[in-house]
Amino acid sequence: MTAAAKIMQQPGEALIEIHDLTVQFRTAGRAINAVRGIDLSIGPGESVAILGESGSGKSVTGKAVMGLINAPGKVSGSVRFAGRELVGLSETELQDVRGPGLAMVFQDSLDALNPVFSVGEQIMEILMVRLGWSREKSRAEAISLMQQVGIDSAEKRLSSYPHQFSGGMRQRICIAMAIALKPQLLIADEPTTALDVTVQAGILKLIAKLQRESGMALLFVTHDLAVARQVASYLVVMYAGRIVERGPIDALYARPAHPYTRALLNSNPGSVSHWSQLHPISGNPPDKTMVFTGCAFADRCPRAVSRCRAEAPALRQVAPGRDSRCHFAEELLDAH
Amino acid sequence: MLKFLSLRLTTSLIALAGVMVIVFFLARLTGSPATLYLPADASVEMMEAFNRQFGYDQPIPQQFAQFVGNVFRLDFGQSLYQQRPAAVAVLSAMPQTILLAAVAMALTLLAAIPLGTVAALHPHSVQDRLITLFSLLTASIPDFWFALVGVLVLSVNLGLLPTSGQASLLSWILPVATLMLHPVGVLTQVVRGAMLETLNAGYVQNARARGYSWKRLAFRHALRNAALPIITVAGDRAGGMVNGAVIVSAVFAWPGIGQVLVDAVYNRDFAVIQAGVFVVGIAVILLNFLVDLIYAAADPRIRIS
Repeated sequence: MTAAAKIMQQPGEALIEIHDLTVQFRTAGRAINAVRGIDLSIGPGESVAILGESGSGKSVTGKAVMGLINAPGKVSGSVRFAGRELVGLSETELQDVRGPGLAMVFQDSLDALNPVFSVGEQIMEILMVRLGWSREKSRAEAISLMQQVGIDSAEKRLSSYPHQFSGGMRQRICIAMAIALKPQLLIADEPTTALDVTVQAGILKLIAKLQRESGMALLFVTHDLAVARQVASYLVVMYAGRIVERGPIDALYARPAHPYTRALLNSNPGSVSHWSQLHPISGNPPDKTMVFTGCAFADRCPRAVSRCRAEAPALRQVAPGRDSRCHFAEELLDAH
Repeated sequence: MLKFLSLRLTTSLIALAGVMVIVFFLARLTGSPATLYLPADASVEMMEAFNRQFGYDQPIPQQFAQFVGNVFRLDFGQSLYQQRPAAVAVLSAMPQTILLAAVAMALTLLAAIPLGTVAALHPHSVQDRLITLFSLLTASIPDFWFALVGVLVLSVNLGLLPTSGQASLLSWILPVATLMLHPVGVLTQVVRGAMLETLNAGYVQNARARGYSWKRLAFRHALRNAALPIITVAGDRAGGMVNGAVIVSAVFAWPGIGQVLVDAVYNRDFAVIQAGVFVVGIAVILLNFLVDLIYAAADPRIRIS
């Protein structure tokens, strides 16, 4: 049984179970639907990537799981983490879960680190505040954490400030801070998007290695399928706030079961052998205030027929371990 | 950092020199001290004798040259009115002034930082609106009116507080409140604005994701980053408290530098005016220097560059 099949069929073993998660922002009488009902479960030690373009709701999903959606955002549905419902918890109640339960790495490492404290102070603060450790013990652990994420002469760099590090090194420090309390689930929100490609590879290797060695689960948010493949074994594709396809990442890569996933593959320069084969997806993602009667992707879909605009497809199993939100998923699978 | 500080010090000293030149000539435009200190029917000989005694018979440029020479020896001459060295007359008033300003500034910060933070934590809430109303009120009430009404109501009518002097701790209440009035309102709004920005910054969200309490997020992670605008405005207002305590001096007869300067102008006591402006100028330069040092302590990016 594959890891993916396991999480689909035995939700009782899941570390985190997300059910009908919805995030809506109400401003000036308009309702912006960032996430329109997501179901997803991740087992202990599993690595899942959420793939989607800007505005697909992938980052908002990650933040909603952490409880980091601020007013006027409204989260509904259910997020059960280690048997505990997180939606509706107060900030104080969420404090226990954040850190040892859920941890997060953000996209912009310069913005994510406090500019007025040295990185050593910031790493040590976690251990002193959350675990009640002494300064000396926290200092030793901070050095060890910095070494684990591949920072040379860690002891010397403890007193350096965030702006004195390169982007890649800063992101390594953010990762060190995220794993300091040995989280059960690490949420990484586009952690390599702001980095050079060469630096990006190093960070991805590091995340994959830490995940493998510590046994923590990983929820990796990205817009880049090639990146997702390097860290995750299971892929969730989001479009317009919904999951349109999910399954084991290599299976999706080989035989996509949704036209959107297929279009993403064709628009990725890494997946085609010649530039002339590169097909950008025409049109723009739909307006987030829209309410759909049919399929949200219909307007940009090369296969769309009148049924697609009239009848909204449900997310359904189309092959063992594979789910797709397309009326013609089976045809797509067979076409390969 | 050292280069920056020495540059700041140099420009401040040039500004102080400019102010001293202006004060020297403006003071002499108020008229001759001889007409004030001698009886109305004094003879021309008496006038000339008076001017000769204090050096006012010399041409103005020559008086100025002598004044400049003396300043470099820190000699500000004799006070005509007080019959003692002008520097002594001024410096003896400084402790009262600095103490009053320090107490008022400390209380201003103690009030403005929590108020502004609470407002920023709950933007557009009832607390926020009440705090904003309070800060707008205090920032817009004329301080001389507040001082006079305070004395009238609390001291004269109700007899709760002394009207003037500094005999007991109670006599500090109205002078301190008057000095705090505008700064507390302005600073509360500055804290609110700066904290609104830093509370939403990525590093505070990241710290929140590590499970810290709101107190730690607000008063450690957000406030340290909001410190620069707060220090700037607090420093500016502290300068105002040192040299602008004239109202407090006038209404409450507080024996500070404001009182000394006002008396000196009325008495055409040129030496005291010059010494007073010089000492206040030095105090403001030192204050700015202190603000720069606090900047550097608060933000490593300034310290290192």
